Amino acid sequence: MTCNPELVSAFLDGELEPIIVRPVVAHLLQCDDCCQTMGWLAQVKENIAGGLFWQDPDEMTRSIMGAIKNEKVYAGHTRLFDRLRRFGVSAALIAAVLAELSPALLAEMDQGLTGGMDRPSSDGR
Amino acid sequence: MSESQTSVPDGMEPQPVGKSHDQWVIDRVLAGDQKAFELLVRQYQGKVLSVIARMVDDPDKVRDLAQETWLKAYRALPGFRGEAAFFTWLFRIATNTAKNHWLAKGQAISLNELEGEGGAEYTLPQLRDHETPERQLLRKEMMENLQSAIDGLVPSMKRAILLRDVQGLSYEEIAVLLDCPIGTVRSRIFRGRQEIVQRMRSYLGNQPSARKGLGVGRHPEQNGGEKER
Repeated sequence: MTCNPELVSAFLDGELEPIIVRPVVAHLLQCDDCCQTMGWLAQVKENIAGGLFWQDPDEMTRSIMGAIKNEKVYAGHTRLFDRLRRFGVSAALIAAVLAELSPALLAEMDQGLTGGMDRPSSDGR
Repeated sequence: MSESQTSVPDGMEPQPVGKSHDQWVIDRVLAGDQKAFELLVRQYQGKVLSVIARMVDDPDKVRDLAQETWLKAYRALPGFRGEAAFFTWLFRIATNTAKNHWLAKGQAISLNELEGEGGAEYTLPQLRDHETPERQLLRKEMMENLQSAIDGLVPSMKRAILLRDVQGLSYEEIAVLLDCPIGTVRSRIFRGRQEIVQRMRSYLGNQPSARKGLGVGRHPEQNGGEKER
């Protein structure tokens, strides 16, 4: 698809034919010029509607996307910590359950090992 | 008539119901394409700034809170289920971010304060008295130029643009009102916006070194663009 700013303008308005939305989005994702055009058109549209004047929308976009990139790195770290925390909690829970059950289990195992055999009495008889 | 003309808070554009254009972009973001998020930012950053600027006076704080809003939106996007329009969802994040700012300062703000402005009449925003005299002058100059650029459009373009961007009508409704095909409406709106962008470009940061100060921009009449009739 070639650059077509009229379609970009209609995309902003949510007025594209459904069949053409996907190719327009795909084009916007690979064409910096059209992406920038969309920013200008959006700004003017907002100004006409009575919105705030902002002098440098491009700079604002760069600033936000810079923060998002940092966020992405941070999100990666967070995911790792989340996973460790989750595993840590699971491990602690299992340990607690085992600790609770262990006397009973040991007794049962002990009984299993000696099952059927008469224990010698304490007096040796 | 469009299904989306019912009451929406000021600053929120009525959204057509059905498969949203935004949803295509959101799907790409969720698939890991960060550039797609940039499309959302470019599309809606002005609206987010406007929403926050109604609640917060300091322009630097507005900018910070807008950035915070986008970060929150980015984090929360996987939870966006598309039940409301994307901007409705984003609007809520922006207002909550601004409200939290006031709560942190020990003050509160009500939603009524957000919804009191706007209406069908076309009016440019008022100057904000918290700003420096230089900023006020620049803003006043920008508003005058915008008004002049709109007034300088061919009447058919001006009507189409105001019906769309101020009244919020759909292309189909505009086509009926102006008695022309939808394709013509689309073209008029685009060409009108394009002409305004050309006239406003010096104010919108395309020539940052030339426009940071005052009084160096050309008046629309000096641009010499031939108008269609």
